[in-house]
Amino acid sequence: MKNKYVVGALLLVLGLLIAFGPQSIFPVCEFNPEKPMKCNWMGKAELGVGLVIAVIGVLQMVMDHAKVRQGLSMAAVLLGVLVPLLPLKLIGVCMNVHMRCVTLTRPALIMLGVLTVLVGGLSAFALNKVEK
Amino acid sequence: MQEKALSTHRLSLLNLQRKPFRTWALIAVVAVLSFVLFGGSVMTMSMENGIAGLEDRLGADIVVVPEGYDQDFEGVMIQGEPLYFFMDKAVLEQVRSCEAVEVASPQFYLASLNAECCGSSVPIIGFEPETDFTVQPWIVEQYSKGLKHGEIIVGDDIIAEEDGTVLFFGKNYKIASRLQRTGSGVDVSCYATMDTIADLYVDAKEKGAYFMEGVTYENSISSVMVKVKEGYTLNQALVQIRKATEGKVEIVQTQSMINSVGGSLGGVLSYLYVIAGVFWVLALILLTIVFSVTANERKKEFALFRILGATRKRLSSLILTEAFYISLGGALLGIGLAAMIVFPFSTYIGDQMGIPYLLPDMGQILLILLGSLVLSAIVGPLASAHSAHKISQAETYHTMREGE
Amino acid sequence: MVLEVKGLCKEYMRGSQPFYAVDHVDFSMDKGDFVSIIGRSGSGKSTMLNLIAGLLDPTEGTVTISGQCLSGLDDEALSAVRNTVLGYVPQGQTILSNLNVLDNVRLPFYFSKREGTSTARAMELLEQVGIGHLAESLPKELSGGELRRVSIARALMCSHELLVLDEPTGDLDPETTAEIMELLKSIAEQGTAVLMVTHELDTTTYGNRTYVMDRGRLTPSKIAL
Repeated sequence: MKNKYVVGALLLVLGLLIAFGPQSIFPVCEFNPEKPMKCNWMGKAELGVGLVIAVIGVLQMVMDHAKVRQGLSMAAVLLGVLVPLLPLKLIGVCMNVHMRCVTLTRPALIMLGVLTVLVGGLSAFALNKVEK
Repeated sequence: MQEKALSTHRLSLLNLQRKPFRTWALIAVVAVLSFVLFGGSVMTMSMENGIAGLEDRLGADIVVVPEGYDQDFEGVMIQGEPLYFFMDKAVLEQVRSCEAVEVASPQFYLASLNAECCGSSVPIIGFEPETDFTVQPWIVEQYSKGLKHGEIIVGDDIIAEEDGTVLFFGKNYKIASRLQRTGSGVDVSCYATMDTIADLYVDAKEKGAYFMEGVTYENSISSVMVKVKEGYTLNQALVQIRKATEGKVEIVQTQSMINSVGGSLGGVLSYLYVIAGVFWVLALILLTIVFSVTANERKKEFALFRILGATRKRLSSLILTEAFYISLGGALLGIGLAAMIVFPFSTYIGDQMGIPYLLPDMGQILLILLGSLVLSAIVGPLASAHSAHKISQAETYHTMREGE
Repeated sequence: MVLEVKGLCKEYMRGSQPFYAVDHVDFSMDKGDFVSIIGRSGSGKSTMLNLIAGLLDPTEGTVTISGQCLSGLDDEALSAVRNTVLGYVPQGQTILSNLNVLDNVRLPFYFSKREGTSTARAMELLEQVGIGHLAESLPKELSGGELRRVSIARALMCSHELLVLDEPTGDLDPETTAEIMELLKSIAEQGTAVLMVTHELDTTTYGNRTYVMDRGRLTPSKIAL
């Protein structure tokens, strides 16, 4: 069962990127205490979502029962949907299309979200086959 | 159970599966190639598009700006920097008095406040609708008829409030129309008639926005866009304008401004083509080596196919098909990855480059896609052609012996 | 007449000296014949088999299989003969490791344009050679004797008129050798002409004729059977 380590590690990495990327690699706009912007809150929300995805990744590696791992994979899919939804709809980013939260953070989060959905979905699908 | 025919296609796939490491390594080589080809081409095209768009959009042959502000003017036009500069309005009449000038249209530059519209400061440009030839021709979406007092025209990147307005200096202004996308600074600019600008100027002063001492709306302008009359050369016009304005202004030739932006581009572009070419040749050489080594390893297998009744043609097609699958897989992977970067991050890339950057239209993108796909997918069959020929011509009796 | 070999020669140059690897060989086989050819290594046995299979061009002479003369056939036609008339079991291990046993047997079916399916025929052959239960196994799970049975089944897949084997028991233990020879005998009894090249004298007892190959020349064996 090498698969569970591959899926777990992938989710762990994706989760950490989603959690800390908006603060480091593809940062949201600088936080200004006098004038906090939407993207700042959005980044904080992704921190939470990303960490949960990362923990799911760890649990994937620890758990042995196929059905449990399938459930975890499904949870990852749902959270993966949430990742792009935060900057797109639920919270949003800054208005100026040339600010880096729009040009960099948002597309990066959309990509990471899609990848999370793919990894979780493929894993859930594969585990379904194992059971049958 | 559904029986699967052992076609050339399936035998190739089974053989690729047997050596997963080799297969993925080769796919990766081709993927790098197609990534460079597709990503590089899209970026190149975007830059060329951006420059061409800027050229069309500037429209004016000559732009007159205050002395020492030619760089700032470039900043407004290309990067959309919220800069402002003023000169005496008399310049407009001086320019208009020149025989070589067909049209001269004034513009007046302001900058919005950081916290209002658009999350950051953007240029607000006043123009004269009667003489204007650089703004209105580019309107693509019309929301209300004409441009009334208190309405503005916005660049493509300006996001409206929910009620279709934008906020400047504490007041909402209705968006009358939207301009075509250029990939340059024009996209983040807002345009209004001179009397709307007059209101804005007053509000701005009230809000404490400090523009420039001694500048009043009535006696100042920022730039004059000039179209040269037919029958006169650009140089004649330049000389006349310089004389008329007594050298107290900066005269920008838009063509040379574009050339200076595009000039640096030429270097980048030829670089990109050379890199793409080098990658192509490298991939071809690498694959040729690997295929000829593996063909040697598999001599015995191919001899067996011959013994079982496969024709020479069949052997060639087995080798070519396998190579084709590798390069097709690599091509799709590389193009997919490149697409995941060049499209979502296109604004970021454009901003980082600091030159006008406009993605090609769908048709052009499809052409680039097709070109990159063909160039990458052809590498496999080309690289294996020699091995395929050699194996199919080999005497089975001898290859069987050698394989032992 | 299934196989007719007339004045078959293969000349090679050794240095500047020409020599015959196969020297004017004549013989023929009928349905159900089981012919063994023995000889030392280098006596020209393998060369002769390759000439018969159309894998080598003879210097002189002709090979006629089921009424079809191989001389002058182009690659396509020769390949068709190998695929449809003549089953060839090469020396050594020749089972493809990336295909399962069943697919290995089915393989020749797809080297000519054919209608229909191959699995039923392949299963029938695997049953006949006694390893029907191993159809889905991978070659690495099989013993040497079992692998040899697979290659015999594969050779018979599309061609059951003439079966040619090059040292079919060369690398097998005596017990397995006996089993394979019994199998070949039963195949011959069902009407397939079997031509076997070997250097193991004991195996010739299964055939109904034996030839000796020595320095390219083929002579009927003087050993009484």
